Parts: sequence; C-alpha cells; structure tokens
Amino acid sequence: MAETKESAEPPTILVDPIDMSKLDQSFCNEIKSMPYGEELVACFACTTCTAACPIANQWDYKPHQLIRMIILGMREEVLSSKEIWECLTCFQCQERCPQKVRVTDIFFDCKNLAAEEGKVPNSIVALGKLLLETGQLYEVTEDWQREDLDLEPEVPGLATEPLKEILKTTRTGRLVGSDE
Amino acid sequence: MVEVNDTLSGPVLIIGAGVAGMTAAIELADSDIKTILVEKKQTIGGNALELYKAFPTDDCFYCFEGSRFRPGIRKCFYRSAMLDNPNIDLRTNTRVDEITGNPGNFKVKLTTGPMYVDPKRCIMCGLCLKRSGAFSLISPQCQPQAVFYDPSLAEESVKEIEKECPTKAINLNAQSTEEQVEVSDIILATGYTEMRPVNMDEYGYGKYPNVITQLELARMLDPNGESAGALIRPSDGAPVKRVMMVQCVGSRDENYNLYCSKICCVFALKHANIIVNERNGIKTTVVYMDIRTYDRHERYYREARESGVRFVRGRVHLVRPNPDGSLDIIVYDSLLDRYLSYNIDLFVLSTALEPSEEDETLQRTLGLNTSSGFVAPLDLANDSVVAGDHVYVCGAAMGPAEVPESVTQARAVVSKILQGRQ
Amino acid sequence: MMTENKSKVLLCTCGKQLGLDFGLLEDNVGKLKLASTIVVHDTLCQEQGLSVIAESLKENNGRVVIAACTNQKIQPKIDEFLRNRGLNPSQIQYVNIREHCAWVHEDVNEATQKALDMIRGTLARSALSSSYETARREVPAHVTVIGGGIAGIEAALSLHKFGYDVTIFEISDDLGGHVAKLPVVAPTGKPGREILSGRLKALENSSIQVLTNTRVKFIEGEMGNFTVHYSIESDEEQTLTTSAVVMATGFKEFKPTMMDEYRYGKSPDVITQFDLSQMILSGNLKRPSDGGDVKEVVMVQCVGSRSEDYKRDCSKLCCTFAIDNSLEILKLVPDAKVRVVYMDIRVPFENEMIYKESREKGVDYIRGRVSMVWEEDDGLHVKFYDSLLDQYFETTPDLLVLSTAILPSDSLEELSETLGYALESDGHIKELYGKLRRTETRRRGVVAVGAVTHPQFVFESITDAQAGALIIHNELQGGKIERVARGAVLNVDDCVGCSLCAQQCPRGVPLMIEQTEAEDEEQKILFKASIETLNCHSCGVCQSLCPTGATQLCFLSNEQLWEQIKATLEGAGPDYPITLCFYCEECSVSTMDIAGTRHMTYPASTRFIPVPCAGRISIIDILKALENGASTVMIAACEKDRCHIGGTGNEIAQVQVNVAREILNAIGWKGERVDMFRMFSAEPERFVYAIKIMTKRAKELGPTPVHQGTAGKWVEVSE
Repeated sequence: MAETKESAEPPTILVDPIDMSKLDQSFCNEIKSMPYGEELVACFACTTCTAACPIANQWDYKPHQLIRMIILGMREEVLSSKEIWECLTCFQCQERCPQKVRVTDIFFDCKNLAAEEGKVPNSIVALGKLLLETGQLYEVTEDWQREDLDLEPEVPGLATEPLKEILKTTRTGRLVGSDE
Repeated sequence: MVEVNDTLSGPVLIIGAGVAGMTAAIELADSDIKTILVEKKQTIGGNALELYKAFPTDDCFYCFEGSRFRPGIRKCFYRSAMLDNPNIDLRTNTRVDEITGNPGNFKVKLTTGPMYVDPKRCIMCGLCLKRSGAFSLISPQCQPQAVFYDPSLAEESVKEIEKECPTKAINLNAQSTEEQVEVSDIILATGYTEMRPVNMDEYGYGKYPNVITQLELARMLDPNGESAGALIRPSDGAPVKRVMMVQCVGSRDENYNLYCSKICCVFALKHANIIVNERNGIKTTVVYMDIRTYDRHERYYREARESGVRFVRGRVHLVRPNPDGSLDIIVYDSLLDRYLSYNIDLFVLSTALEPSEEDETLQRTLGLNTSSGFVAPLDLANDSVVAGDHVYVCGAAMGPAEVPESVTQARAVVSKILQGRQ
Repeated sequence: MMTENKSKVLLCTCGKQLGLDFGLLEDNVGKLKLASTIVVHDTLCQEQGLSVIAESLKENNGRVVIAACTNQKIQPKIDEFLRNRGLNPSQIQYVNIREHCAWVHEDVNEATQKALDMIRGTLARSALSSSYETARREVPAHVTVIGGGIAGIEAALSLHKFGYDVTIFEISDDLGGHVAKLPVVAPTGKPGREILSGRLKALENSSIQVLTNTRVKFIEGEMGNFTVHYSIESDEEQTLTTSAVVMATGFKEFKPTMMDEYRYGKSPDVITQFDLSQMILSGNLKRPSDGGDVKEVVMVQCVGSRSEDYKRDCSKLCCTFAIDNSLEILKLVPDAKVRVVYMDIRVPFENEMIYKESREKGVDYIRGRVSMVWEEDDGLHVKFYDSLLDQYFETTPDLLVLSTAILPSDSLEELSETLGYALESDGHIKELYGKLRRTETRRRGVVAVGAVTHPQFVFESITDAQAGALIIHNELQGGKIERVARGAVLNVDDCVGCSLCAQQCPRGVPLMIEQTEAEDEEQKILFKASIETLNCHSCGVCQSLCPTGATQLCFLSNEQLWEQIKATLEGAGPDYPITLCFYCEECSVSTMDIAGTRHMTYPASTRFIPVPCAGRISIIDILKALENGASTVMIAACEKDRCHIGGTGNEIAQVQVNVAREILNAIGWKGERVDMFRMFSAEPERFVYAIKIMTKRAKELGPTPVHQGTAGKWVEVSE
C-alpha cells in the first residue's frame, strides 16, 4: 500500500443522496393508518408486485419502489407521481403479494391523498369534467351511428342536473368545477 | 475418590466451557463418566453468556440444561452447580499447552493461572467486595459463583482481607500451576470469536468510537451491564437516537472470509427488535445483501418490519464522522437505485464469526481436518461430530452455530462416546 | 395437627457478614414450638458446616431447617455430601435469609423479623414433611422409531448400540425417505444412496426389527409402558409394547397446484426441486412434455415459503437444494443455462462457497419474481422481473423448477391426539424447549428427531438423531430406571375421575384408566387417574386443580402449605401490612436471587414461600393467605411461554389468580389484593417493581375484612 497522509480531507461527494432526515416519516404512518394500509410495513421488497403488474414496464417508479418510497417517507414524489394514476386496478399485485400488502388499495389511498392536495393529472380532471357536464364518462354513440340505427338524436332520460348538484358538493366537483 | 470407570476408558477432556462444552460435560457426568472441563477464561459460559437475550426463545442467555445432579428442564446459570458436580473437574483460567500420547491415551499438559480466590471456598459473603475494588463479581450470574481478584488493582488492605476471609478462600501469593492429565477422549468445544474489522477502512471500526460490533451491542443492551441496558454513545455517553446496522461485514468476502456466518442476520434482527420495542423511540436501519433468517427465525425479520425497523438492500458508500461524534453515512439502495444519506449515532457491524485463536494449534497437534479454519469432521457422510480417533468436536468450533445446534451436537458427541464404551 | 415433629434449625451467618440480628434470631427461634434446637454457624456450606448438617440430620430424624443463602446454590452440594454418607436429605427445608432478606432490606430489625417469620413458616412445613427415596422401575428395553428416513435409521442404530431392542415403522415400502432419492447431499457431494448404504447394511446385520408398509394408528400409555397400535398394509390391527417413541417422520414437499401463476399441475414442464432431483438421479434430464433436451432451466425460490397464504417461515433447505441441483444439471448438460429467480439467497456457512462456485460456472441469479408463465407452440414461456436491473425479461426454458416449501408430514396431528406431543402453529412437532431441549417433546419418553420438528440438512438430522438416542437412553437407563421418587402421588380412592389433572398436566403424565379391576360394580365403569411418580415433573398443577386432594406432591402436601401460610403470617395485622409472595423455584427464585446478589432494595414487609411451579398455587391457597392476615398476595412466575416446568404451569396459575380476584371483588375484598407477576433473571428489576406495586397496594387498600373482624359476615358490596 502506498504511503497515505495521516489526516485525510473529507472526501468530495459526487453522488447526490436523498437526505433521510428530510423525509417525512409520518407519511408511512399516515398510509398505514388508512383503511387497507395495515400490512404496509410487512413488505420485504421481494418485488412480486412489480413482477405481477401488467403495465409497470412503462413506469419510471415500479410498484415495489413506490411502496418502498412510502415506507421511507418520500411523500412528495409518491403523491405527485403519474404512476399511481396509471394503475389499472387489476389487483394482481395485491393477490400475489406473499406478505398480503394491499398494494392496489394503498395506491387508492395515495390517489385520495393526492386529490386532497389537488395533485390530480389533467387527463383525470378532464374525465371529471366530462362526468360533471354530461353525467357520463364517455361519449355513448356518434351522431351518425344513431341515425343509422334509427335512434333519436339525443340519449333520452339522462338527468344531468341533479347529478351536477350532488357532484358539486364532492371533492370531484371541487377539483373539476373550480376550473369552470 | 477417583473411581476407575469402564475398562480401558479414562476421563474425557473437554476444551472450552461454553454452551457446547458444558452440555457435553453434564451429559457425560450424568452417565458417570469423569470429565475434565478446561476453560481459558475465569468464568464459564462462553460467548452465549454475554448476549443478554437468546434466540430462538428470547429469554435470557443465562439458562442451562438441568441434569441428574441438578434436575430440571433448565436452570439459571448461577445455580447450575457446575463446580459441585462430582464427575466434572472444572478448571477455569486454564489453557491446554501440549497434547501428546495416542488416541485413547492422551497426555495433556494444562497450565492454570494463579488462583487468587478458590471458587470452591468462596461463599460470596461480600467482605472483600465491600473493602476493596480489587475484588469484584464478574457478573451476578457468573459460574463459578465466586469473587474475582485483579492484582493490578491491589491496595494495602488486601493483605488484611486475605486474613479475614471467613473460608480462607483468598491466596494473594498464588502462582500458576502446571499439571499433566491422562485422558482417553478429547472434545473440542472452543467456540468462535467475533471478527474485529480494524482493517476495513470503509467502516471506521477502531477509528470512530461509535462504530461497534453486534456482540458489543449485546453487552450494551444487557440490563446487568455497565449502562444498565440503556443505549448510549461510546463517544460521549449521550443517548442514542438512530442506529444503523450493516450485515455481512467480513463474511462472504474474498478479502476476509468466504463463508456465511449464518447466525448474524438472526441476532442482528433480535437486537434491532429489542432496540425498537424496548428502548423507546430509537430508529434503526439495517443494510443488507441477503437477509438470512433461516426457517422459524423468519419471524425475527417479520417482527422487525412490523416494529418499524427499516431495511435497505444495498451497501455503505461512505462513512463520515462529525465533530459531535455522530456519523454521516451514505448508503446505496439497490432497489430504488438511489443513494440515501443518514445521520447516525451508533453504527453496528455484523461481523464475521471466526474460529478461536487456539484452534489452529489444536488442529495441527491432533491432525484434524479443517474447513475455513474451523474444525471439520473426519467424514461428514458418516457423522458430523467425530473429528478423529477419540477426538470429537461440537458447537461453534465446527462453524458458526446457534445455541440449540451446539447443544444437540454436544449430545451427539456424548452419544457416540457412550456407544463406544458400551 | 402434628406439633410433635420438631425440626432442628441451622442458622448461617455467611462468614459473619449477614446483616441480621443473630442474637435476637437465635433467641426467638428457640422459643418457637416447632423448633427442637438451634445452631448458629458461620459457614454451613464448607466441610465442617456440612458435617454439622449431617449430624443434625441424624439427631433429628431427617427434619432440619437450614436458614442460609439461596438453596439453589447450596442444596446440590449438601444433598451430594449427605448421600455419600448414606443419609436421606429429602426432608431438609431451606429458608433464604440472604438474597431474599439481609441483602435487600436496609433496616436490620425489619429484616430480622422477616427472617423469623419465614423460619417459623418453614418449621410448620417441615413438621408435616415426609421423606422420599430413590425408586426403581423395570421397563422393557425396547424403543419404537416411527419413520424410516435418515433420522429414524440413525436413531435406531444409536439406540441399538446402547443395547435397546428397536422396531422401525415405515409407511412406504422402502427405507431411506427423501435422502435415498437425492442425487447429491450437501456438502459431502455424495449421492443419498451412498450416505445410506453403510447404515442400511448395519441395519440388516443387527436385530433391529423393520416393518415397512406399516401405519401407526394410535399409541396409548406412558413412558416405560406405551402400547403402539399399528397395521401392516391393510391387515388387522396389531399392538406392540414399548418404552419410548422416536418420531422421525420427516417432511413433505409443498405441491403448489393452487398457485396459478406458476402453472404447476397444468404444464408438465413445471416441476418441483424434488421432482428435478429424481430426474437427475436417473441421469435422464429431458423435458417431461415431449422428451426434448433440456438446455435452459429457470428455478424459482420461495414458492409457498415466507408467504402469509401458505407457510410463513423460511424452509431453509431450498436455496442450497436449488444450487446443488443447478450444479448437477451442469454436470449432465455442460452448456445448459440455469437461471435462479430469488428474493434472498440463503446458504449457511460453507454452502456460500457452493453458491460462488455456481456463479463461476455460469448460473444466472436474478433478484426478482416471476410475472407470468404460459405455453405456446414452442413450449413454456416465462416472464420475470429483475429488480436490480429494473427490467422485465422473457425466456423460453425447457424446465421451470419451483423450490417449494417444506411442510410437516401428514397425520402428525392425528397421532398427537393419542401420543400427546404438542404441535407448533405451522404443524411441525413442538420442541419442549427450543433453546436447550430441541429433541424432546412435551411428553416424557417421546423424542422427535430430524425434519419433523423443523427443516434440517441431512447431517443435521443425523446429529439430531444421535442426540435423541442419548435422551432416551438417559430416560430409560437400559430398562432399569432408577430415580428419586419426588413428585405427585395419587390416592386412587379419593379420585373422582374429573380428569382435570390429565387434561392440564403440562407434560401429559396422568393417564385416565378404566377401573375394570374395581370390586364395586358401579365403580367399574369409571375412569380414574393414574400417576407414575417417576415420570412426574413435580410442578403441582394437578394438585392445585384436584377437587378432592387425591393427588398431592409428596414433598408439599396441601396441609403443609396451609400450615406454612398460617405460621408465616402469625401476627400479621393492618399496622404493618404484609405482602405474601408465592414464588416459583424456577424463574422467580432466580430473579429474586439475582436481585439479591445485586443488592437491589425493596420493602421488607414481604414474606416469601417457595413452590416448585406457580401452577401449584390454587385459589384456596391464595384465599388462605388472606384468611390468615396477609394484606396482599402475589405470585411470582415465569414469563409467558417460558414456564420452566413444562410450558403451562404459569398460565394455570394466572387462571387461578383471575378467579381469586373475581371472588374477592364479588365479596367486596378488592381483587387488586391478589396479582401475578412474570419475570426472568436477566431483568431483576421486574421483581423489585412487582414488590413495590404490591406493598403500595397493601398500604393503600387498607385493612382487610380479616383485620377488621368482619370476615364471614354479610356486607353490602358497593361498586
């Protein structure tokens, strides 16, 4: 070994670490205390959830990483992630988890928390708007299809006014209506 | 008084009075076979005694099996009456110097350090303990139950105390003695030692005071220990708030030991559970490559996760000391593919469990097989406790082992010896 | 009452260092009516002192009370000394005036009074004591081994060498169990057959009886006298008399047919590790579906293990098993590609080096899980996720090998109902004490070796079996059992057949026997208890539950304890409220002794009475204590799951305490006067804490109705 100086200078840190003391430990407890969150910390990062997920291939944060981030307390990153909203809710992860962590349900909890803070992706807001205006989440039929089938031009019997009233008092209404 | 046992069979020498050695001694004694139990330290019990709570039962390490002489499923150490058992000749503070002779008729030279206090006479009345700091009790559970004298702390009063001892147990002029004994069988039960990773610069052990090993942590957690079980920083005695443990330090490592030390994941998690559940509010993180909690020990891993111990699959990138004694540690998390930085009060290394230092000489003298420095059986396909002709091995002398394994191996040794003498 | 049986009292001053007023003590003890003579000695445990004890024993017909340091340390020494001189020490009683008195109380007067009270109490116990001797019992020198795998064979051979006749029962047609079918046994590198061959030969050349195709149906009796009911193939049931039983039924591999994601049972190319071993052993490694060559294998670890849905714990062997099998595959097909998908690789000690060898030989380890398995025309497709690369992969292996969980063998539960061993929550046989008594079970004379208790490697099972044989040999002593008859003795005339003792004995000692020999016709249909004292562990649970006092410990009868309670509490009143503490002579005495050695202090208004196990204390004993003037009553016992005697004595004590509290509350005496505390010696503060609570309650709750003279009179109870 080459001779080294007695006292070394503090090394230059080139990596960019996450400062653990700045993470929000209460986030883990928050999710844990929400319905379906009890088993959160039973997770041992086996990554079965990610393996089972049909679409996680396109995610930057995989399901096991998101659960890990919740446990560590990375509130910001989790609640502003696009991934939780892209969850297909197929429940494969939850079914296969060997420690019975309710992954899908935990993602639902995260979505609710994110919505509380107004962090909802535009595409979801747009869906909400559609719900509020038309009472439906999608266009039922095209006009020309209705003509071809000899149906009346408008879909009858959809009572959108009472629905709008009810929805206005909900968080969905707040999130969506405020844009109007 | 020394009866000659079965024809052509003499006493059995047991080197090492840890759990394995003591179990072998007791079982042989119960079968009326004379044993000479040799221990290099002043008290017996070995490594297990200093570990506060034992797995898999999470009760104190101080218990030991009962026997015909001292019936019961188990008995606390201090009352295991090892010294009084008529078939066990217990020699503490004794080393094996030389082994000559032939299998079945070994001649062993033993050197015993000066016996300042005769444990057979000491009644722990407290007279000497009250009058001079040179006399102390190693621990309330120590076996033999006797006072320990440290000549380096001798004062004027010790001569008086020697005279006043009610049982004349003290002899300040005691000298080392040597004796040659003849034995027919030898059992190696020399246990393991924990590696002190002074050469591993990356962890700072030996450089930074708040870096310790798991066994050192166990001693700290023991309510009968110096800090009465409280977790305090070695550097300044301040209470510890954040602990980080690193697994596989010096094990599974081409630079140190290739093998896995098998039990360190379990006892690290045992400690982590104690820290989180019984010492309020201390945050613990465990950095690992693989968590190896074999069969039912998986529950320690489960309980750790449930109790809030955090796990990071990865390795330590950097350890940097702060002026206040705490350490800034950057760890690579391989599952997030990110680096995490922590500020830690107590950095605990789960270091490799290596063979005892005396092992090498004994192995060479007796011509035994070795595996990774530990004693290996003569023919594993046959059985695991026979190391040679009339030479047996049990416990961690064969490789890191849990207490129940060591006990089973010791019993297997006795089983083989008895079968040979039928 | 027996007031004529006086005992000699020996008081030890412990080298004149004990802080008690020995003058006062000598005087006052001398005045006690049950004390014959008193001797004050400085060092009773040394040679000269021991001679004094021997002399005293001869003078006083065996009745001696020794007031000294903890009997836990000196009793074995004293007993040995006396036995070597042909004397019977069984009636000696001990009082701890050191660790339980002088060392823990600051006020010398209070401590001296306490010592006096406890000596008086012990004299009362001594006055009614009876001696017990070593008893002999001849039993057949025969042991039954259930299970003909490696553990069973090794146990049989060891027992045979010890001189016992052995019968092995094996349910299949061949001996050897799983090991016979292993191509390689870690870490010897030898095939299972080779490990077995020497042993099988030894078996043939011995007189060990081997019964294959035999099923054990049930077993009755107790150690020294078991009757095994079995049938060979589907023939009639036969019986065998035996003295001890070795359970060695091994394990069963989990077949994951319900785990859809792996398609086990649906696709023939998805197999278990054991299935793979069979293929390797036959040397014929081919795809089961179409017999094609095997070029690529994917193995999956932890299938069914570490899972809340199946087996919670790790199966220990499967990582090593998988790695061994991968190396065997490479031997058969050197250019095969083996991938192992894992969560944690668990290879102990030198198996780590075999792990390394496999990596060097090109085995691919993927930390991750399998996403999906499906079949296409070209065969099996497997998609998996690699958590370290954060990537999904797809491959087309020829074989998908699942490392499935190790489960307990079948019918363990059924046999446990008659043989009486306990089961763990995962179905394996429960060890008597996981740290030091791993091969023993709840039932004396029944040992469990090999994988039947928990997954074990082959050489671990061999060691286990050898240890198990030793245990049995220690118990049976070659068929001539000789043991001190210290335990429960049953008077069958007083027994009403309630069977509480048989149900609650922690070690299943009492048997319920049909009274076919009874003279009275009405009695013939009854079942009454039968207790073999030499099998008994002397806890006293049977005694505390027995409604008629039919079963009692020969060294602590009901009368003895009641007289001791009365005498200890003589003069107890409301001005100096006394807490009476019954302590078990296992964890509690240790905790108290260590608290003493560390000179921890606590109130002296406490009186201690030792019992072998907290389970010995019944509701009646607790109420008697209050009846005789105690202000509060405490039971000190072992921690939960740690009862040293057998595992449940302390829980039974808890039930008794709970009922006592209810009774006291119902009659307005305040249930908090009675409580139970658990402890162990590593934490002596627990005892101190408990005492402080109970003495505080004694003061706060004030005089009891006994003190006030209103006991037994109608009182309005207000909430």
